[in-house]
Amino acid sequence: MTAVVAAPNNPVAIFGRFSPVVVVSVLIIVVFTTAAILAPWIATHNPNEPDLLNTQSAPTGTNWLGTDNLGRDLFSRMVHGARSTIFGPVLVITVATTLGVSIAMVAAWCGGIVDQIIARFIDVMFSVPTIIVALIVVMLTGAGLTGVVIGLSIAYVPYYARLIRSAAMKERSLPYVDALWLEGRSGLWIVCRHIIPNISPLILTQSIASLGLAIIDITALSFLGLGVQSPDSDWGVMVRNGIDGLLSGRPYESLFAGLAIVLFAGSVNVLGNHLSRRFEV
Amino acid sequence: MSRAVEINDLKISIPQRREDEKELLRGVNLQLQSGESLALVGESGSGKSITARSILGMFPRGAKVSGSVKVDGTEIVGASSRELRRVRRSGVAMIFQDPRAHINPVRTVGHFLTETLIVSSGWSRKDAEECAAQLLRDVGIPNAKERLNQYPHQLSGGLLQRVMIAGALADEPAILLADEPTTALDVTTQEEVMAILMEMRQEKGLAMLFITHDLELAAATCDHTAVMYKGRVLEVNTSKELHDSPEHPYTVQLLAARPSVAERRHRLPVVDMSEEQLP
Repeated sequence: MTAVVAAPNNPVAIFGRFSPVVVVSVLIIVVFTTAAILAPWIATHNPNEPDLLNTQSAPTGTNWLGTDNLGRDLFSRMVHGARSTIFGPVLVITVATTLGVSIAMVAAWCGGIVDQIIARFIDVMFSVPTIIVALIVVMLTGAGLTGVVIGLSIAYVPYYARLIRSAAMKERSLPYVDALWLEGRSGLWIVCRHIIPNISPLILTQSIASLGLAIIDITALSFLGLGVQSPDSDWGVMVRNGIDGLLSGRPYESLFAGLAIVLFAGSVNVLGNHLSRRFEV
Repeated sequence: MSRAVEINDLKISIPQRREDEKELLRGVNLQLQSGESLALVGESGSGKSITARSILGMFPRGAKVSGSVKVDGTEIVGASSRELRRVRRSGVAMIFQDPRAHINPVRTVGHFLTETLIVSSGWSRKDAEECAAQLLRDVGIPNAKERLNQYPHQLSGGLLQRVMIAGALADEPAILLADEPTTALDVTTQEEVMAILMEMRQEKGLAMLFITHDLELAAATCDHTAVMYKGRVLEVNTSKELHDSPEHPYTVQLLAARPSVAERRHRLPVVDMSEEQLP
């Protein structure tokens, strides 16, 4: 009997075998992200140019997804809107991960009173809902993508800090950390070169799982009119903007934007689930 | 002969909330001359490992420490973390009982061996890898180059213990602390590992503190033997003297409690010490 063992650095060995559902999800993520990056070249129209003679149109040959209440091309608005809808949450997660992991490492490495203070602080932050934290920050900075990103970044920190802290504490208690310490490595070196890499599957999985949530939160804030401001587009803005059409029997704008959110956030969650099963975290 | 390690009246205790403080070491005195090997024997919980870790300045969290530990003239008790790092990096290396737990499991053997050289001694990666391969050959591991790319889980316990010995020797220490390096190995690998350890020690003229449960092994491999019990050193003597004519009643009982093939007994004698018999 011969067993086929994947080489340690082969993607299959690292990320596991993708089931068809995961493959479709990854495809959706890749297609949407590419579209967002290449938006100016893909868009068929200027996304902000009104055409008052052609409002609320159904999908046609020139306007692939129809037009909105000002006659702006929905397809072009969708691809341009994908930029803030996709990269906003990515930015939120990047900032939150960096902050959360740093705080968690300080708590886990220092232990004692420092850890107690950080742990209580995280508990307090947990008691405030994400959206409320974001709302408070937006109140201070004024409506716009910047405020929303800062607010959500802060709001997501405790989710990382709590999880990573407990994982880091477990890792820190392993004998090899003592051995490194007794070899004369500095604490910073051990944390950055040994503990963080060793719990990186958990960090990655948590990031992708939270990315799904961040997409929903950021579009929700846009829907409420606190995020991206008119005339720029965003999927959340488009769902809101399409409500009038929805009530008058022309549901295209809300429908397509909503569908895009569901598909993208869903795909990210499927991928997150797959990774968490793969890494057994 | 200069003193590589000098421990004077070292006391370590952990304050407890309600009861009296828990005493781990109750005044340990121990000298290790450079180039000499000293075995530290005693039962579990007698304070052997804590004594060894004290030499590297690693005390249990929240412990009260008094007394003095000097490594090559540097005082360890109360030393700054910077000074401690210097001692740990340059002068003293430690080998642990369970190599599988004491080596980062997700890094390759090569990474484990080269890290010290690159970080502490500022070697280039290429030179460090060359040196690591040589270290592996020194401890009797064939195919050293391939081994460097393997992960700890791909190696047997005996091989991994040799890797750990190689790692300890990488930064050319003058003092080697071996905390039960063979306890987790089976008897044949135990012998091989001991042989390599002895050979390395003699070749490089290291001072070694060898912690073990095994009195025979201590007598066979070390110049001197110290017996610990309940946080005290009861007796230090040359290994032969200690073995042939033990002075302290505890040592007598400990020697009597060993199993032997020559004399089969239904039950081994139990070591039983009253407080009055302790110093």
